[in-house]
Amino acid sequence: MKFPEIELGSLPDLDAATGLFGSFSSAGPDDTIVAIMVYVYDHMLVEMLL
Amino acid sequence: MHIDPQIGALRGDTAAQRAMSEAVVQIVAECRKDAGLAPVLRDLEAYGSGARLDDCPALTGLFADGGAAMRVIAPLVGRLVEVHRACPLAQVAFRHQSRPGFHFLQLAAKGRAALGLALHDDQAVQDASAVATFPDSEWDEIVLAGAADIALLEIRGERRDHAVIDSRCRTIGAGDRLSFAGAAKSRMVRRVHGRLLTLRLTRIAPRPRPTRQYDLATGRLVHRASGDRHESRDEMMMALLGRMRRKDAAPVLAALTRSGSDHLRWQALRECLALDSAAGFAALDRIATDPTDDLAPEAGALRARLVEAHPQLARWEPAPCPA
Repeated sequence: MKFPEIELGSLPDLDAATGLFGSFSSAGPDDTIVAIMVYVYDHMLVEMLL
Repeated sequence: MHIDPQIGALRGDTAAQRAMSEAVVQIVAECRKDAGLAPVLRDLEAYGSGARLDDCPALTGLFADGGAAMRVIAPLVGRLVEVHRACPLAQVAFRHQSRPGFHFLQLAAKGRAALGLALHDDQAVQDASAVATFPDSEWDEIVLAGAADIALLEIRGERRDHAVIDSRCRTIGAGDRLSFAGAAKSRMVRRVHGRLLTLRLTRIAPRPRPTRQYDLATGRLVHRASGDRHESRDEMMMALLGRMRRKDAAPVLAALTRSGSDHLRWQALRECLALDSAAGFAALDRIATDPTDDLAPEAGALRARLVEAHPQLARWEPAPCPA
């Protein structure tokens, strides 16, 4: 059978939406900067700590 | 774009850049070997790996009184200040955050544990303190300098989007220690008397619940964030694979729907359905038909919705078990 193309945006989130690690309500709806920080810090900066 | 002349000059001077970078690496290496700090870092590693705090004498010693913490931390801060005086543009790449009223510098992180300096000042916007944050972690903090009125918070009852929070106020000053653990306890700084500098040790739970933020006045849930940075990293990786249309990642995404938090499993399912609807629908059906799966109701509803929108999916049957 031929499977349909499904748009990600048409698929619902869970009711209890969960933001990325470190995100806060005051950061507004856009967690982009948090996303970048989590990735960069986890991969690059840990070695620089004591 | 304005570029400061000093920074502009540095851009073309690779020798100066290297000298600064080496100065920072040298200072950090010296700090790691410091007689007061080295045993603390060893203990932090053990604590971050799951040891009891009581079994980490150098670490517990730090929190015994403000003087002990100052004796270990002051030489470290002195060295960092020294390197910045010598090289004002040098970057000491410690995790940090700074916003009006609050500044935080993470000194060390090992496994699940982290040690840092937190400074509250009286520049905070009053409205910002109306929201309390509850991370799922163990928290030990000692006041190094200054004083503040704080509220010790405990969630007495919690429904999906609402909590009953008990609040007890007290004033803390140099040498006072705060310790609490678990996702139901937290503390909030209500009023700072000039400044409040603390040394903070935290350890995230092995399988942390999401961090929740509640409006203190109403008890309303205003935000939930994953308590697990590794899980958030996985979520970002999944999103990236999805945006890159990496259809070959669909089996990995389908596998990720089998374990982890409900949130991560659901995101893996969404990405999998959008990348490869055949693989995604198989995963969706498996979840929807497993009555022991917490996501079964949501998966069942989504399956019904997809079948309605794409009637050919009604003819789908699970592949026979290879065994």
